[in-house]
Amino acid sequence: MEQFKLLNPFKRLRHIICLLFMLLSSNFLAQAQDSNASLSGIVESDKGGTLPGVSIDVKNDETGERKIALTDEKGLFKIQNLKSQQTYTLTFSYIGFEPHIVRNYKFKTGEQASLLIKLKEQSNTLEQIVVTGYSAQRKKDLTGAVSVINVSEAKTVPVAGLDQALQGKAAGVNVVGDGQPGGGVSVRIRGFSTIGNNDPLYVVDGVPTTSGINMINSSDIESIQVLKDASSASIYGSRAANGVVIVTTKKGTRGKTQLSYDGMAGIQNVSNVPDLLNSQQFGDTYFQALKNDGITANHVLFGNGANAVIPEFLDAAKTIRSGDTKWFDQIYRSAMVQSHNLMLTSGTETSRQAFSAGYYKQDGILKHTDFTRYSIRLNSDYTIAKRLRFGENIGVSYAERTGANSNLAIGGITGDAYKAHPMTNIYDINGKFAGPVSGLNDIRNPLSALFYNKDNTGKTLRILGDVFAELTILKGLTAKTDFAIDYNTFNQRSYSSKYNEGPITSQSISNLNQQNIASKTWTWSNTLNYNVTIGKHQLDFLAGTEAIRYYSEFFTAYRDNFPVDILDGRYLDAGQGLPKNSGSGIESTLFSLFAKANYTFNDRYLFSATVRRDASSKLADGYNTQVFPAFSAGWRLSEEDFIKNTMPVISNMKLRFGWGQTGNQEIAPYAAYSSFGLDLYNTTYDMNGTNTSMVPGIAQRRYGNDQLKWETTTQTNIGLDLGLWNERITLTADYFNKDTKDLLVQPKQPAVFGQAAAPYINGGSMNNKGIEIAANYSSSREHAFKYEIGGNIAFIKNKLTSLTGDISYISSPASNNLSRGLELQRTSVGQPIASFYGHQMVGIFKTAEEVTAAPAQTGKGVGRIRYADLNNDNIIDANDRTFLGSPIPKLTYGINLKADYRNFDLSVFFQGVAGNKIYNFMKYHNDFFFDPFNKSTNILNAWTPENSGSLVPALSTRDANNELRPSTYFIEDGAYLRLKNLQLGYTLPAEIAEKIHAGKLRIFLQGQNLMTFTNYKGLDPEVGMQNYSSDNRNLDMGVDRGLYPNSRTYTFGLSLTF
Amino acid sequence: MKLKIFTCLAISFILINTACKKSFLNSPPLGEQSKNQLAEKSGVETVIVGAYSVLNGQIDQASNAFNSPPSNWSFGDVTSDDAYKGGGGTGDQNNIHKMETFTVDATSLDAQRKWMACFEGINRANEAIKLIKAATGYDDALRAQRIAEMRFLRGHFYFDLKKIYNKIPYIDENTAVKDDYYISNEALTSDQLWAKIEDDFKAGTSILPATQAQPARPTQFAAWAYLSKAYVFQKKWTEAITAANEVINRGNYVLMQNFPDTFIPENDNGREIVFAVQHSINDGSTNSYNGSIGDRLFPIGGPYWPGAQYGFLRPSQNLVNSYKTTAAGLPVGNNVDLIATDNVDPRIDHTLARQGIPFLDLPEAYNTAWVRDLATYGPYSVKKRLVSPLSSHWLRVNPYTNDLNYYVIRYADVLLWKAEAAIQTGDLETGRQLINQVRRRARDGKKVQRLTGGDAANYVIAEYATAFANQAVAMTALKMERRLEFALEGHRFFDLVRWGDAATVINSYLDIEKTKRAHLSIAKFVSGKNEYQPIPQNEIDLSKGALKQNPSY
Repeated sequence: MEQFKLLNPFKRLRHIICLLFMLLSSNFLAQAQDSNASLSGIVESDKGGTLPGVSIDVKNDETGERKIALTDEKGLFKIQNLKSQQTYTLTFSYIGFEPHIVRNYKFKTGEQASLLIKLKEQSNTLEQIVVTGYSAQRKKDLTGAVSVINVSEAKTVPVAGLDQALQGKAAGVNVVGDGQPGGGVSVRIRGFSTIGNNDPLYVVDGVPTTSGINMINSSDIESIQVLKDASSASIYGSRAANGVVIVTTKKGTRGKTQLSYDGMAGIQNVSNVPDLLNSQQFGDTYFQALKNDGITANHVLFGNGANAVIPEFLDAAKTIRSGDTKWFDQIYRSAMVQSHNLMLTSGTETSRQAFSAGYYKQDGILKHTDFTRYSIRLNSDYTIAKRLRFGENIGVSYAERTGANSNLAIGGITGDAYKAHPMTNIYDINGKFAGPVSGLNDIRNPLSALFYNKDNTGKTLRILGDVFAELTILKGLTAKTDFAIDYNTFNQRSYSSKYNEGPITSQSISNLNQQNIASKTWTWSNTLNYNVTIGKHQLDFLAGTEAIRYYSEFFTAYRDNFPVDILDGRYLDAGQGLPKNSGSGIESTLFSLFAKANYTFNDRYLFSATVRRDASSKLADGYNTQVFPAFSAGWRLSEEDFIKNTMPVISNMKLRFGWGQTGNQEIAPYAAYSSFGLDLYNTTYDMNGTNTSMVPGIAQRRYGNDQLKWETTTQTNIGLDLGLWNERITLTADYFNKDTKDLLVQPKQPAVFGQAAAPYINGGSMNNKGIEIAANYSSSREHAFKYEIGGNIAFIKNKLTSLTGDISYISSPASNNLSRGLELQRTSVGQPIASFYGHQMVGIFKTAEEVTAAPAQTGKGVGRIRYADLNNDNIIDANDRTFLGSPIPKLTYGINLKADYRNFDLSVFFQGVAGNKIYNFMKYHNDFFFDPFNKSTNILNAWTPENSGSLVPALSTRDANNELRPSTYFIEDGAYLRLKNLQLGYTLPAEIAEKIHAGKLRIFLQGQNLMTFTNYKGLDPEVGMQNYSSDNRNLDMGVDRGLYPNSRTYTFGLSLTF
Repeated sequence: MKLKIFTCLAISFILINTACKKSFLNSPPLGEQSKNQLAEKSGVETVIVGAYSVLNGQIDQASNAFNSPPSNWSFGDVTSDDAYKGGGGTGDQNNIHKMETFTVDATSLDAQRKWMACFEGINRANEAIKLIKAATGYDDALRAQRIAEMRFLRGHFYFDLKKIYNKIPYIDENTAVKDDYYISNEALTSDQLWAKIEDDFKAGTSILPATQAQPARPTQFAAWAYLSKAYVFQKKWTEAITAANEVINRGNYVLMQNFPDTFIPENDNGREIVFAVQHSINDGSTNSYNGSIGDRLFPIGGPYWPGAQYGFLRPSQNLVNSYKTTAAGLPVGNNVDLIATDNVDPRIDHTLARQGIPFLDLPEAYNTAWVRDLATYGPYSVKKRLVSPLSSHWLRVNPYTNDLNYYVIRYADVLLWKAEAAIQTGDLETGRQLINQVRRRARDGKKVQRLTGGDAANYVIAEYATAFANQAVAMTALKMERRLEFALEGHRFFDLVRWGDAATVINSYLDIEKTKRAHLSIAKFVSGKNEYQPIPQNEIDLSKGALKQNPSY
């Protein structure tokens, strides 16, 4: 927190007197009588450097007499002829900075007061400049729904990606991630406007990108704005339907060259581990389950006695002792996170530069996983011959990441730790990794799996930047051309070693899979901007064109049979097996024309109109062009006399109304084309019957839709901005209603059409409506103890409102690896997307009479789950399935508390969601003895006649009652409130900082995810998606299949400016 | 000056607009072909190969064709009295557990996947037929032959659908308009469907050549054999005999000398094989999905299958018992648990693995300690159609496929169809001779030997020496012969259904078997329902009302 440094002459003058003498000329003249006082000084920015042009309003509280002055180019000011013994109010104001007010200032006779004023840069006030698409506006002139993220808060959160740092920071912006260092993150603005890709468009220094921003060093960020409604976003027409996140990186500033360092280091721990059975508990409950089934207990390892007995060794050769392994304790660790950033800024009259270098390293709390990123950035611009400006912004980042599969029913490492048998030992008697034996299960030793994966590092290089030229043609008329590139490469060599961990888990041949992906997007935009102010009329006009071409190449190669198992041997050429490979490419283009006009009358009536015409190669020829209009208006009531005069408490009041349309074409390219292709998985065949050769074949790959057109979202937004007591209380409230029509969906076709990719169609409509409120209260700036309380809350209701005749519902992706082949979710009319679908559990059958009286239900019995007969036909079958809740939170919120006392600052940030459900898929394995995987301690409370209140069905080894079917048994409340961030900072007093030649030094201690309040029984209620890149990723969200939990992190950091 | 700059800028704007119009936005798929680019023979031939490719049940990029296996091990063996699902407990491939215990419902993953795989095959065949008809570069003979090949494939897929689901929608190359695909599965009667299937095979009987240079392609004898099978399923006995005779009299088929030799990759396009799904590994395909992907869950565990401890398809005690023979070498058929000293049909130890009996060419005998989930699925493992882990024909990395073909029809099948048809038409003697022909090979061929030499068990098998007393006796012998000869080849359940025996045989099997294998205690075959799998609920839901569910689902 920035400190106000009011240098009271009675107390602190001595400290700065030398400085002032150097800075000020000495021609102070003593005035006669009572008008003999004068005031002079210097105004600086809190970020360093002096401020020219600051307006100083000196008001005599007794006479009402005012004197106005401006600081000169060195930031100096001087006001003479002030009256002694009278009180004054001094107001320093400057665009982009918070006004600084000194009240009750009384001059002594003849006093020549000198002040050093530091103005604080504005974080959330009206004069703040907001970038809203090819141009910038003052916040008070905005007519759309725009959230400004507090960057200083967001960037101190120790997360790899900036996208994660957005969580809870703006109303209506919901963020979920998979918890892994450098892992997948999904940002949702105002719900889900479509079924497929709901990612917002990111615009980094004017460069649009859909590849996310997690490769951008958060220390480089100057500001982030989220454009939420159509009227603000529609200038980005295409791709703006999911909202736009505008990121501006730091630029150089005129003035002295400044070097700053930000760094932090910390420790992360797993915040929660599940309670699973130990070996004896497993044996006992298993025997009980057999007993309940009427089967004599008999187990290869636990024996056939009355009680389960743990053998000393698991194998006949006596090389593996039986274990009692807590697998979660084995795979998790305390892990280090650190980040270091250097930033150099400088500027002259004609040029500005900002250079930064960053290093971020996060070890995963899951052993042998990590993420390291190196980044550099150079932003500069040059003014030539006054009218012409050239510049560039370029960021290069390189990251290495070793991850682990997360949230998969089969093969995810956390899921495997849930499933691995406790009796499986970690090591054999020789200290080598051990594995399961017959009688346990087939889950590979999870620690070994992590260990052998530790060198399979994925390497990503990203270059994102632009060069531009701007010409001022006439006063107020500028033309700008900007060419941007977003280049990404990904390379990974995944080696799978030979291993032998007992009779069940081993691999006799090593293999290597190498993957390379390279993609580039170039964007060329040209804009003309015209600003004019005539009297009370102010007009901004913008017109432009934009062309975008995306291209990517994918290549993978494989060899097996590596003779030597060493790190240096993990290259394709060392493999002696048959070479295998595949490769493909993707291309798409977009061309747009756009124009925008903002008109302001008398600073109180605001109008804005936007029109954009987009053409996309992803849609069908003849249907791929659409025009997206938007209008908005604002009324600054606080400028009207009837408010100004009657309610002076209101410092700002603005009503906003916006309407607009935005488009979406973010689907896989080529949806318009029908095509045939070769697919090594299923189109080649051994025609010659040699057993070792294939003849290439092709088959229909996709069905095109030659009438595919834009998906259009129409959004209405009504908003109110309110500021009270000179913005000490601010409130922003928005109501929105978003209708998406011509929804781009790829509904499943009946199998009679074959398995070629079904055509995309414009096949339905979706509605999102909601209310967002953000409020903030700041205490008086005049006390040493200052505090701020802020919060944001959003209520969102998502609903699929129609599907075209062909489709009854959209199914969740049915991969066996995902949910064991079960259909957990459906997207149907009248429901939020990806709603859980299945049976309602009524309870557990307690008596034989209850069983007899109940509707027909195959396998029903005492102690078994009883399902609801929803259609009252006295039979429990597929027709009794219904919707069981939605994974989308109805409510998302964030709460911020900030306090400053002298040099200390404290910030507390809570974040939470409510109204969503989670499908706890881990119960599929952990609550039932239908498979040999480990079980949860839940089952220690299983139903018995003595424990008839239990809702965990009686122990059994047979699934006679089909209890694995999707039902409310698996569904839990997903609400949580989490203390995301707690930070205590201390800024060294300026005097001390100066002694060490530092402009500023601040240190802080921070804790993340310190407390969580939730009823969810799984590891972590922040359940995201199964993956973060597939086209249908939203359709199976909110299912916990063993995810990588968020970590609890403690960090220490410092920032230093020279 | 100012004006000049402005004008230049305006002009460049306009230029960009127009220049970026058409070609900039034209972006067809990279590395793929449009239908227009497939107007010539060379292109169409690759589309034909694409149609063959679906024979192995592999239709997407996931390695789960075991849910749509061409061998029908789950649909034909696990559902019968021959086998259990196996694997790691009843929750592992739980859908197949439900099929095994007849608790399956219309949301069954396997019912869905098999349906998808068959219709993908049908679609690729239909698409190929359309392209062949229009393509340039074919001579008339080859054009006709290729169409016949595609019709053969289509017949094969429809046959699978018919026997698994019974009521199916029928589409062919004339189905053009989108709405036509939403045809009801009750639009054609069962007889009409069979007629369509027959027609596709009949086309092949006259047009397909007697031999094919590429063994993957069906010959006219394959068409005759499949036609015979279609007749057998419809009890058209006379026609079945005629068709079988075409194969027996004119085709160059023999039974391999040794029963186990039939099931090794080295012989998998040999003279006993009438039509097979070709499997290949190490063929350059990225994921070895051209191998036995549908059967990839068979590797049994133990020290010889590193990494591939799946252990699915486990022989039932009932099947084991059925191999017991009398001193005279004929089946006992009393379902008393086999003991080591019992006389057995030698095919038992070629078909399944028993404790202490050598396993293929491994240097040690099969040990039940290798087995996964012994407690649930008992001590036996599949052996037939499992390639030795020592062989180069088995892939020792994921997905652990092998390159042994799956025999859709082998010659013994044709012989026994003719035998059955002969018995049904009263010619018991022809039936006996054909049954004996099959038994003779089992009797005279190689038997499993102990590692130390000598027969591994008391193998006693003989021909039926005397004429069958009556048709019922003959049919009992025939049914037993089919079971012993074709165990674990995916046919048993369909035989039981077409014989009308499914309910009685399976329920009496379950009554006894559930006392030995607890996982079956919930199983009961419902007559009139469980003869067929449910029509997949997803397909019904997507069909706009065209598809009707099978009875009682």
